[in-house]
Amino acid sequence: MNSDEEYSLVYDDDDDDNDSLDFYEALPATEFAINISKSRSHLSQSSEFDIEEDPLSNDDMAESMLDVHVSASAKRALTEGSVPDLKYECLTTEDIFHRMLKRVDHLQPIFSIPHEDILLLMQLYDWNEERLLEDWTEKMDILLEESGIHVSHNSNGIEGNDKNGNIRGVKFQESFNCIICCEEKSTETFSLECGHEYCIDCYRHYIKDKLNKGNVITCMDCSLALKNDDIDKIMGHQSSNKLMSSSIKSFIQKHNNNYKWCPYTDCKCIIHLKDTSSFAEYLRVHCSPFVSCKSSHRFCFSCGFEIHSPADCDITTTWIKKAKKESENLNWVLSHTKECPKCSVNIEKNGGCNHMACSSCKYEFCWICSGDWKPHGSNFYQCTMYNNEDSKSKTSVEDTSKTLKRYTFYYRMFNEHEASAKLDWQLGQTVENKVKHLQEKIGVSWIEGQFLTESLRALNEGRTALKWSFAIAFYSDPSHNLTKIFVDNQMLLSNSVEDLSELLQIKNPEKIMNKKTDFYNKAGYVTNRTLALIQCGRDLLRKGICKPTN
Amino acid sequence: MSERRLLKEYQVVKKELGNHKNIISSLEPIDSDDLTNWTATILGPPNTPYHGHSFDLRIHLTPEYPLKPPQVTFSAYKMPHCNIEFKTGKICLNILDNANWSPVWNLLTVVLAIYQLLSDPVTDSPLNIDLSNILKIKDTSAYYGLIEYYLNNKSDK
Ligand SMILES: [Zn+2]
Ligand SMILES: [Zn+2]
Ligand SMILES: [Zn+2]
Ligand SMILES: [Zn+2]
Ligand SMILES: [Zn+2]
Ligand SMILES: [Zn+2]
Ligand SMILES: [Zn+2]
Repeated sequence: MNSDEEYSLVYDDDDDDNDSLDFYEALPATEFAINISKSRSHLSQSSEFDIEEDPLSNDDMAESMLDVHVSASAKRALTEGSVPDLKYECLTTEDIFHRMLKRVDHLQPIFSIPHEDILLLMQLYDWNEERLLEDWTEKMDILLEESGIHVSHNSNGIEGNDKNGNIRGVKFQESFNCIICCEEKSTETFSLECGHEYCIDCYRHYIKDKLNKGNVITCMDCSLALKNDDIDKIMGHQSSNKLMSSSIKSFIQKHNNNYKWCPYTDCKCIIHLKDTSSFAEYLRVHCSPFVSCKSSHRFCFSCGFEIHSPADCDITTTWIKKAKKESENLNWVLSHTKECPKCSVNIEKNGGCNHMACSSCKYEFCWICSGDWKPHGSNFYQCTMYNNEDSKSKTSVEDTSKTLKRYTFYYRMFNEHEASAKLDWQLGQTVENKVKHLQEKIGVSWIEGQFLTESLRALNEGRTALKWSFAIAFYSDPSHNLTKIFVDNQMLLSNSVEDLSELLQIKNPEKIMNKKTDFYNKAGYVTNRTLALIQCGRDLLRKGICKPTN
Repeated sequence: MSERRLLKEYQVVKKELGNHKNIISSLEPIDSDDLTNWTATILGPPNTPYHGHSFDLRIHLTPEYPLKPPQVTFSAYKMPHCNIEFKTGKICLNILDNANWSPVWNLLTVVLAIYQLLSDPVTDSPLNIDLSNILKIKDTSAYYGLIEYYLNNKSDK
């Protein structure tokens, strides 16, 4: 057992806010106990879920904060991929369009015009049904003309034309003189009831780019609108889908308070927040109100970035800005291979674990500082860079270089954890195979094999929290007690993450099954440590100990 | 895009320019072998501070013309107008936007629309903030004064 496990898991939300009550929702003690079995002895049996009312003095607080109290609802929130009660759904543009079509069905009896005309009106009104209904009851006839559904009575376009003489649609003309391209040819043409007739090639060119804009497309010479059916006839089967999808996209852009694109590359998911009224409250309680798309991409709904707890959106954007600004100076090379510090054999990092062992000389070292691993074993932060940091500087020149050095350290740690997270993700691919292996080789049921998947999830979450915790640590007042507690918590999480990461690299199926309890315990421990770190970080923010500065 | 369309426009311009003598003093291709680059000179409309002055336009027709609008600019540092950027001569006019352009319009339509813009500046989409601000507070004498000043003093740049 490591010395770190003396930190028991009681962390109290000492703030005056009332939300702590929901946050510390009681639950069967057994469920909770599984994950903290190792440290249970440090918890008094009855006070596990009690809330301490009195705000503590700084020193008292410092002591009590080492005790991390993890509520089950919060834990569930963390593992189930959503902030509790944040009501949202994952949609695609097609889903939203189909909903709009259903709305059109509902409106049809009121409007008594064909479906596709209502669809066109909805498109024109940016899918704002209320505003459309209002205008419809007020000025139905004007609306039908303005929207280009009916031929306008005072349009120049119909001068000299018999209103009923022109048939809407594609025609074939033996000899047609198109006024756009000025070619005289035998060709297909298109015109609406207005009689503005052009060759099909010109019409196609005209429509092509407009499909990406999402606006209603009109005749080239008057305000009469092309309906989806016309577009399909000119451009080919289902071309109007593209127009509808563009229109829905601009709808999403205009409603970006409650609709957000998943920021992951090539993901077509849209998250629709159903309950915007209480969102501000969630933001206050949870630093990163994250949502998860159908493809399990999780991101902060507020700033659109990846989950960044314990950092809030402010710290996150400030940190990223700074990192962008400094990255050229720092010029980090984040390679996946390194030479063994002892025998110079090339070693490849194959998981997120920073504990490296040379296959040739068996030297064990730390990936980050290349130092001997031994002192790291119980305390990951024994890296030399970090320790240098503590010594006080004397001159202002020293100060500046210290500040840069300080930033450099945090930035490097942040980057290392990002790189590790990527490797963990690759590890995830193999975990899937391992689960399959377990099923085939030793007849483990799918559900039984889930502990591996769960462990991986705990690892990913822990790693992400750890990564962003360096942004919090950087912007926190280093002399404050709570900052020190935060750093201690970082260390604990870091150790537990390293442990779990190592465990997940076991390849032998039998060995994996034998270690099942180990997986449960270690993953549960990581989850609890993650939550503790997040809660501690939240307190740093709330108390103003952590502030974004430039 | 269409050689034939350009030839047709050339014919139409030659034929119809005479009908717009008081507005357009010239509209012709820079080189008659290349119908994609044109110049035009328009006259300042009566009852505007531009009256008595004339203004040169450059018109470029991209390969996508007439499906895309022509690119039209005034000479740089020559045109003080609410919707024209003084130092570039760039014009903000809705019919010259991709989204609003219609292929049925032609060079004459475009030049006439720009002439119209001189009489009807739009304060909502200003490219010349100073003029737009004066125009917004309806200070006519200051508006005339500033344009006079631009036309007489700054245009030598
Ligand atoms: Zn044509
Ligand atoms: Zn028409
Ligand atoms: Zn996604
Ligand atoms: Zn955020
Ligand atoms: Zn390790
Ligand atoms: Zn070695
Ligand atoms: Zn180290």
